[in-house]
Amino acid sequence: VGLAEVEAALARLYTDDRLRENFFADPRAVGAELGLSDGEARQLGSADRRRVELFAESLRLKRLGEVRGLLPRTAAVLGDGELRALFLEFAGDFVPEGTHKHRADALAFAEYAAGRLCGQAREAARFDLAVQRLFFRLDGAAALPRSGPALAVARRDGRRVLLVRPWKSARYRSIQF
Amino acid sequence: MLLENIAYLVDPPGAEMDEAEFVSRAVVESGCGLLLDLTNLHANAANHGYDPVAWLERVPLDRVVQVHVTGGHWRDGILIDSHSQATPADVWELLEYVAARAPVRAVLLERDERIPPIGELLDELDLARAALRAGERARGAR
Repeated sequence: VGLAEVEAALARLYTDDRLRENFFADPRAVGAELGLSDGEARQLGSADRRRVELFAESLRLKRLGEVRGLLPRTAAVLGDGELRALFLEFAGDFVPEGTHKHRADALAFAEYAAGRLCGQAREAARFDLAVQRLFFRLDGAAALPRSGPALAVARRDGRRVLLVRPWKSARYRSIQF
Repeated sequence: MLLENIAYLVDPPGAEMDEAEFVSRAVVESGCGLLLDLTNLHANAANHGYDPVAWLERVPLDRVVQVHVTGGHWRDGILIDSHSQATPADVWELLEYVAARAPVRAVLLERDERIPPIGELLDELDLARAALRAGERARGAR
């Protein structure tokens, strides 16, 4: 096993809360699952746990910064504190993959938020989710772009709206009905 | 294509070279430009206990195309690159140091968290311009 594999394992430890917890509890066994030798697992296990946790959190907050821009109604209704708390609760168990990681995060988090929230906040999360789904769909932990036109129905300010994304457009229109 | 120096808290175990050597070799051998994040450098220097100017002396500053600046926050004695605070004076000094040695094409002020009133951001841009001008004057005088 080489340096590239050790760095790949470190990247996974930064982004996967459960794996990190398991690894620091038993570096040798979990290191073997990650393909590391005993020596490499010991070396990685000796890393300053506090620094690893802080870096992991800083990465989650960077993810939050991207998601906040993609889910503007949810962010506005929840406010910074509640959005942050809910995202941190979500982010440790979801590791986005692929070339559209922020979109995957936004889709998965909006689904999570819609399931956890109620009232106006739930409506906002479902609206943002409907908008994101006009452009991308979640396939496992990856977001795949949609190529064709798309339609969705959502609620905004208590009223139903039709969301329309024309063919190949980067924008959408909303029609109240 | 530009390579950016990142903020990191843990040295990769078994690393074959330090960050300055890695950045220099990657930039020189690939032929790409350098996106120099001075706040990342400032945070790394604080967290790993090295001199940021000594780091700058080891990387090819003539390859710098763009510079990023912002401020982070301290937590448990560690400086986190959170893009949440005003750019500290140490970072403006680093910008002046770089501008005195290489033409910087652009400076980007990054802010993702705790975004202040626009007036405070404009004040920061003035500080960036002042650091650039001071550096350029020093470079012209060499």
